Amino acid sequence: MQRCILLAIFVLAAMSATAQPSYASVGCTTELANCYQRAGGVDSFWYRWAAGLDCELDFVECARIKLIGG
Amino acid sequence: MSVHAIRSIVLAAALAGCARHGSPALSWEVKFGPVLGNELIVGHAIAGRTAWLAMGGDALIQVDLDSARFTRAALHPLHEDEHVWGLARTNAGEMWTLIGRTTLAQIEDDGRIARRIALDEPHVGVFGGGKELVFQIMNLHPPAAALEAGPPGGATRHSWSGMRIRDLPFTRGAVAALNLVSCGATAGAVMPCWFPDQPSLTLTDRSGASRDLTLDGLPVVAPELLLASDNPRRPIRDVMVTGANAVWVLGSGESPGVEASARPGGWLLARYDLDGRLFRRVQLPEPARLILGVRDDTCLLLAWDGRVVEVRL
Repeated sequence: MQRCILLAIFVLAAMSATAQPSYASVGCTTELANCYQRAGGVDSFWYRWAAGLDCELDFVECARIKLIGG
Repeated sequence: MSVHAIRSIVLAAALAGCARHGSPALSWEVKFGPVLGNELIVGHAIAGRTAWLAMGGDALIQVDLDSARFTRAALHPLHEDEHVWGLARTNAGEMWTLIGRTTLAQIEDDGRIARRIALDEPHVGVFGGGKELVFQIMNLHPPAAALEAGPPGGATRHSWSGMRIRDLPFTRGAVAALNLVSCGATAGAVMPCWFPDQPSLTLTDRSGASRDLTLDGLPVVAPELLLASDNPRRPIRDVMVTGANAVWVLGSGESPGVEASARPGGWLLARYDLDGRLFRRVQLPEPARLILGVRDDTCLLLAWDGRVVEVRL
């Protein structure tokens, strides 16, 4: 049974490694959420606002790869 | 059997023969390559029978389609945290790209960055627009003009094309992403540009005047699915307008299976006229990433694995 589970994990890992092209931008939204969380920790109102804006710019650049990248 | 019935059978057979002649099987002939690996293409420019590809790994690939030769050069000098996006070629033969969001850079064929120009606002796209460059500025407040044009180093720019970024019911970042513009190559009088979720083009002429062209036979994809998917089904991936006013469109189309869907590129190739009338639409046997060149009814594609392939429609 353990062998089967290990084999299944190995196969799933191999599949997840090959299913995406090497440049796929997985997790743009997750990274945006993380970025907002970091920006929320900034003390100054204006720096927090600027950090939030940077998060959105980063998100657009991340999404750009899969939306218009060749 | 009556003479009338025999005549009908003969006519039907003749018409069937004509129909087969009118829609020959798709040819798919590998010409050379691979010219690149499984890597991101961040911009391309085409002039005559030469294509230049800007790569996500900060390299420039030049492909001569007639001699089947290609070269690769590292873009330099670049700081460790600097990366390029976009590739524009002017009529004068100058090539430009964006470094990050706020630097416009002129690059030479050998990959050398010859000139840097600081930009006042964050930019997300640069395209060749004849004598000038066409820019997309990051604008988080739609509706507004999507593109503007001007000389590389000039302070004066003018709005170009009637494309306007759209106000959509999503978060600000998602709206900005869905308003990213792509533009294809042209040997004709109009330049084709499009939004990632729409099966239509905006055709803009040299004066900046534009009109929209809806293309039949391309799938419509919900914007939220486009954003959520790792390998989204884009209605349009690349377009080339020929000097003979044909519009060749590469779309994601339908992959024949799950395994095949992991390959980068689109499965649908279609040819329209400038009024949007569909001439022919085919499913490719392998996905293609870009349209590199068109001559009459023959199209050179960059296949998913980096080979240059000739397709006849």
